[in-house]
Amino acid sequence: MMLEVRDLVTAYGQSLVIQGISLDVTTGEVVCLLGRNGAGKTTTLRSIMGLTPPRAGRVIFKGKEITGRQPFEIARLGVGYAPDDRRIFPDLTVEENLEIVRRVTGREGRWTVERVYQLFPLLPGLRGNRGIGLSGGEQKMLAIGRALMGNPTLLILDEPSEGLSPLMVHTLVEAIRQIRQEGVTLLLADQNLKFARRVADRGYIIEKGTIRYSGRLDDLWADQEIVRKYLAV
Amino acid sequence: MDTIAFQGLIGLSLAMYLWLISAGLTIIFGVLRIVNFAHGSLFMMGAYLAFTFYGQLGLPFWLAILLSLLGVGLLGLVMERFFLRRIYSIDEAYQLLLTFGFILILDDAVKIIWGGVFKIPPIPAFLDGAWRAFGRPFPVYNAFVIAVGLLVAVLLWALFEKSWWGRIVRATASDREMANAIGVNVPRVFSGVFMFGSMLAALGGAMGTPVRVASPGIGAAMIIQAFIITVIGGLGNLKGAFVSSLMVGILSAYGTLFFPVFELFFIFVIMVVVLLVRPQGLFAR
Repeated sequence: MMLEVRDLVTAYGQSLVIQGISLDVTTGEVVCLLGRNGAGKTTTLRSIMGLTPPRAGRVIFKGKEITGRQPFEIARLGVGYAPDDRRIFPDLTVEENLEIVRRVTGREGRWTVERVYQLFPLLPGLRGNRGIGLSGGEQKMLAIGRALMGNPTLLILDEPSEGLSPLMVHTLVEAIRQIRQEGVTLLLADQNLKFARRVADRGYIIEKGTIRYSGRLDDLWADQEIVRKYLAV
Repeated sequence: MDTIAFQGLIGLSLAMYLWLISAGLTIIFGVLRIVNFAHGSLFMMGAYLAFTFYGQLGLPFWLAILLSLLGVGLLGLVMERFFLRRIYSIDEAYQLLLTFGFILILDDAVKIIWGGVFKIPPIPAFLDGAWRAFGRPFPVYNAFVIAVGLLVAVLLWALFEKSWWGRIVRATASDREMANAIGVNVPRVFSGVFMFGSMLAALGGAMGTPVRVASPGIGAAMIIQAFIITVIGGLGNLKGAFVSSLMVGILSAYGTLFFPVFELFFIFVIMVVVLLVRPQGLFAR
């Protein structure tokens, strides 16, 4: 088992945002958290990554409890994370944004700057540009590439398809397939069921901080009632 | 004409003193987001340690400066690791209280260890004397301070722009949470940056003593100047601190030439004028 989350409870101040979530990600799988805005997807991922430490519950990565560990320790254990708002370092260049991860994690492996450039062909032309000047889509690709540079065994992507043009979504789908072929396990959160269905095997629907549905995405796709109830806008 | 040119040199050496005392303060603010009001006291500790190592123990000049830097760096490390670290996430008023507490503690420590009287170490022989510049004697020591100030500026630029430690520090300064998430040991970066900034303060103090006396309480005087320079340049902006030091140093030198009674006053006038036009400082982050 790559990742086990057990009875996770997370709060901002007095408000419980995550109210007892449990989920599993098996090695080699692509799993997607689905749900509307504010359902608790981002907070779940942030809690796993250690960015918003949970109030209760456990996060177990490759059999090892990581609950409450510092994010940098979790990153160095092999969890890559690309946040929904991208958070590219504005005054580092594209290449520095990638290379810095290799330097700080010390995790050498098959993901190199050149390999990331192959995955996202629009990046090499921008290698000397500072992060602050990139478009939203370019930042999105760079954020994923940056997360890969730590050679993670688990890659967490928050809203990867959000705001991308159809062409870029296509590039992203291809990239995720290649990342998976390299043996990386993925946990995504996305609102776009169509996109999720193209890349993920299984999904969990989150609403109001609890899991309402879990199952194969093909089955979910066929269940119009669930889709209407939890996902339709 | 010679008077004007000569006063420019005086201004330049004043500017380099200001630069040396403000560089560390602005670096620490840029990364840790705290204003270290004890920065002037670290300057003072650098001055006293240099006095002891050079003036009292008779160690070689360079070694004395190096040891002062290391001593104050260690002090800074202790301050960050065991005290400041506990207050990053709470109200900023506590930063003021804690760092002000360090001013009082270090002032008293200096009185206990070195006594309350002024200390003036000798100027090393190779830096003593004066050169003729524009028809007037210009102290060699001032030329030395100008050279050190410019060298520090170049080295800092190279460190932050060209080294990986510098890039990691910049990434942490711009987004500490994301830096943490990609694997940067943020608490260790904070300790390193605070220690580094403390050593810059000590460099100013150690270099300054032969021409400016070391006395208990100079920390408080220094922090006011350093803080003004930093605010004019834009808090947390290193280039801003350099430009602001040059501006204040040179304008003060000329101001003093024409209006000698206002000597101590110019730095405040410049601050007020700059902040009226650009409240965020010359170079906002």
